[in-house]
Amino acid sequence: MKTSNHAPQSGYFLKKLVIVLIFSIELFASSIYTLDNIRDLNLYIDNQTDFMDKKEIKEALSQKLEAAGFVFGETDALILVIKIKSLEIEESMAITVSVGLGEEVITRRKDKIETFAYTYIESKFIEGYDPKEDTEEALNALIDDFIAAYKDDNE
Amino acid sequence: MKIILILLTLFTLSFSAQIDEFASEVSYERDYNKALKMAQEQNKILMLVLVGDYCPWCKKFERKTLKSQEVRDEVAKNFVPLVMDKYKDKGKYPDAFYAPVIPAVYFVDPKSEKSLLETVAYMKKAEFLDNADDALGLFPKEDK
Repeated sequence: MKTSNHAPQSGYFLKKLVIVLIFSIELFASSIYTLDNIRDLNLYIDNQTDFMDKKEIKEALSQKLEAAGFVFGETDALILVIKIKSLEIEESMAITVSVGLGEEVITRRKDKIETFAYTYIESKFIEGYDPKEDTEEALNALIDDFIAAYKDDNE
Repeated sequence: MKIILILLTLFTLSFSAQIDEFASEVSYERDYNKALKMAQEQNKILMLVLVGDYCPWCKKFERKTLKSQEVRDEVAKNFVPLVMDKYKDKGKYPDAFYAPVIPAVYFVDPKSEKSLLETVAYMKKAEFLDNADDALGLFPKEDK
């Protein structure tokens, strides 16, 4: 978004408005993280519920991520962590779904300490009346966001 | 003596703030008055970048946009760049540029010290270069 102290013509403003709108739409795909040069992934699923099937999640997400250009099965791949937790409250279910990218990094701390860190993390907290369907929907939205942010950073 | 000086420099660098490291890496000024004087002497627009050390979008703007070679070339050619921390450097730059949102970039006419164009929020390379181009277009011709 930009502003100027000068007063150009209305056509100029219209053109700029369209440009700003396009960039604003694109900004929704951006994330604060930097996802440049990621290719190899290793999927780790931490399923702490009894209504989701780990194998089913892995198959569905692997297909989606492979279609987006990610490669599985390579050595030293980054770890895409999928975490699903739930808590039953009366007739509904409180569910937390998160998608994180974990990797070994060198920190800026004294002695440049090496550690495992999340270099991308997004999560959703939902109330699920149909826990399985709602969780799948949240997970898909999170993976779509991850893919969109990846593409945005690598275009 | 030489070794002591080198060690002292390394020691100082290891404790310098990230904003200083960034400024040093991309050759941005850190002193408003010095940058303004340079802009006046070189007849260039003063490009004031406001960031914050807690601001993740600022960090991304620095590493993805401002550090890219295309942007560095354009900035070096047409602007005198200056980076300030919105809060920690408050009082070291005019209050008029105390942006409500960061990251913010002010393209400042060095003679009048008025903003020709300002941008807020994270921008990709292409958008930044487009804005820089617009700022150059707004720079009074007699000043060029």
